[in-house]
Amino acid sequence: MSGLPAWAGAFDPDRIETVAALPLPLPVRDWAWGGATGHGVKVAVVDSGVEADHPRVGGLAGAVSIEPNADGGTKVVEGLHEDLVGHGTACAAIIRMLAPDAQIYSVRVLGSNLKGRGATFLAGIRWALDNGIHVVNMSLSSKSDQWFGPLHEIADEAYFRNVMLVCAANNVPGPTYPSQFASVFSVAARPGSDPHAIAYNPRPPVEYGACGIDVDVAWQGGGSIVATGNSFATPHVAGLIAALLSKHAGLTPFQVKAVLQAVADNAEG
Amino acid sequence: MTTPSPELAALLVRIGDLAGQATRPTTLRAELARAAASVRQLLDAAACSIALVEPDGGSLRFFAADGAGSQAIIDITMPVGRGIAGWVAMAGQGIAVGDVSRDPRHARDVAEATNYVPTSILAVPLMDEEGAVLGVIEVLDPQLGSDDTGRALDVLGTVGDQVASIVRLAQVYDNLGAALLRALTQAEDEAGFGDALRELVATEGDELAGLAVAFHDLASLGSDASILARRVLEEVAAFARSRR
Repeated sequence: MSGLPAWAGAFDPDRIETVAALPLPLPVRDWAWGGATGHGVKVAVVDSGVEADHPRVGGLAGAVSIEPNADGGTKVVEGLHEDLVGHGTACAAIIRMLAPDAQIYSVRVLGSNLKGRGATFLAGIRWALDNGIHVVNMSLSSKSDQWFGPLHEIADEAYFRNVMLVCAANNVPGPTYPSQFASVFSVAARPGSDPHAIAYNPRPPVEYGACGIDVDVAWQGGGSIVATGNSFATPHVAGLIAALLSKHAGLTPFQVKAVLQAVADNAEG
Repeated sequence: MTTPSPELAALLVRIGDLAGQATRPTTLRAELARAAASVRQLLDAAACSIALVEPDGGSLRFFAADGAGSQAIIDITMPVGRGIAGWVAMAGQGIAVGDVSRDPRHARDVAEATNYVPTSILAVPLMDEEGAVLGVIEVLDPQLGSDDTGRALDVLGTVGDQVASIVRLAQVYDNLGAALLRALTQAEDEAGFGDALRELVATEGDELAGLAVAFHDLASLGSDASILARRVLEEVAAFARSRR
């Protein structure tokens, strides 16, 4: 179907192209995150909230809720909160699986009303930048031209401050933000059950494919479900970046991107 | 206010009436019901439903559906802050979830609404060209092979893009009559009406207000142009009725 997103099918095992990558020490996966636990790395889950006491989440380092004000602005409400849907809990649990000692923060930006949605997204990223977060998991996106500029600006700021914005690509045709930006890690789901497996798409803007099809994920009420979506592939990449940074502190976004390309299943050698 | 010329007032009333006839909810419902039926067949699913965001932005109203539980779910509203469809609308992302009966809150909510509790759900947002989330298209229990779920989400996202265009177009025409009449009531005279329309361009966006301005310009050209405008609208209305 010609209307499918340009990246759709790019990660099919029988279609994916080989890419040239930096010659990191072999085996690259061991070099990247062998023995890494995510210790000392702060990860924000910008989503519907996180169920802190879910067994697969194992507690949170902190939680805030970004809520719209009557004047069109936003306010930050500190303290634990429920996960309104279950999705944020699923993301946090995936990150915990890959980076067990990471400090995970819930930044709830999805509330009870669609109005002010762009402003809460932006304020959620701002909170992460202002609070020393190293990795931001964003399983959400906007097509709004109104928010293109502000999201682009804050994504660039994150890039230059070594904050990794890991964003889900969208199944809807056309550009979505911030996943479209070169300064972020754009992620789509690909087949496979290995949570450490990554593929690199030589035809961005969607750069990375990760486990996200029919995966067993944590959900609200302490439970779990089987789920599919780019939004579940995204925390796999966020978790792997957290593990990488705990072993190789101080890497920049472009260095991390190069490492993820080098560990990709379709990297040369 | 000064009453606009009888010719202009009559034209506006006629335009409002025809725009309403052409795009009244049954037309949009019929279009969306056909889309839901097509998607259900495409994915060999138990049901497909299309929910639209209510004007207050706080809830989704199921507007069209096909398949199991479809009659019961029409006009049911659900808060956007809860549930899978709500998350899809809020996040602007498509997802598929299986074993939803393991989610006790979801199972309870859905059972109360439709008496049909699915095992799996695919859901994608309906977004217009400006990025506003208009609604959600949801598919219950699609029959998919292993590794087909990701592809199905891509296909549904593409279909959702087309459905969003239908919704957007309907909303534009649905609002046209109201916008024209509001401009009329705000105008002090003929010049004021023009000013009110220009104000609409600033407040309503180019698409709707531009349409209203075009009708005003036609009306100002005299009786022949007014007749032409009316005939065009009558043809549009007849066409829309014939497609129901």
